[in-house]
Amino acid sequence: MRSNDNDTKGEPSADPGARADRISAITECVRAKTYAVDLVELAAALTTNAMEPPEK
Amino acid sequence: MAQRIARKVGRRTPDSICEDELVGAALIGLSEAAERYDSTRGEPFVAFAETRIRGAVLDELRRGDLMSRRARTAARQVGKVIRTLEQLHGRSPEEHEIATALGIPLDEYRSELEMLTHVAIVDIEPHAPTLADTDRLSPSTIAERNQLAALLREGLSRIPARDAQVLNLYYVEELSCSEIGQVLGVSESRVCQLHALAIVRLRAEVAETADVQRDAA
Repeated sequence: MRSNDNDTKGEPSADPGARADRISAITECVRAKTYAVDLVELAAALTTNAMEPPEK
Repeated sequence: MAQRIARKVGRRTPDSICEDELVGAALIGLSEAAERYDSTRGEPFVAFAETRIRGAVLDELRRGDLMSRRARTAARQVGKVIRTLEQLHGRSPEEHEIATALGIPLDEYRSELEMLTHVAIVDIEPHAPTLADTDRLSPSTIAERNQLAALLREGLSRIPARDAQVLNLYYVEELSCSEIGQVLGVSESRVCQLHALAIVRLRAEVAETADVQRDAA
């Protein structure tokens, strides 16, 4: 499962329909145990999160 | 209800934290809950509001460094127990094993985990350069960032797959805790606990890898 090719990540109100579809697709993959985690991508996201300035 | 939740959370915080401020945050949470409540979803308002109020109070605590300091200390304590149990059993410990080792009931342990939801994955010094300073990052800072990414990759490869999955849903897919709950078929509150446990486990793995590297150097 990859969901980087859409514009609904992290934006709940951008396109509720598309976001709901994406969540359904992820749910199906998780339940079918076919949801793959790219550890390199996840580590990069966590690194960015760790080094982000704290929220005001 | 707002006051009750604020006082309940306040009981576990240092005396220096003003209860009135927590009650104020709880009332803001209640007001937000009233604005955002969608009766067509079938969720009782009280349950919905409790989650929002609790979140608002915890956010208020996190705004001050006292809570993050307390969370970091607790995360280190849980992480230490996880590492000890890993060495003992040769596998990632289950939640009930961690709770037993900490000497507290499973429910209390899970409740503590919720307080750690937003604890940092690694302790970055306050003066450390951030991504906002990307243009001014020195080669050594870029090297440190790459080193951190490598440590995290190594740590991620050693935590349970379910933990990595929760982290991926949150940080890569950028789903909210409520949406992750929908995906996994668990409550939002349980997602908070799973997220915190994943972070604490990852912190423990990163710390262990860093220790090994330091010893080898």
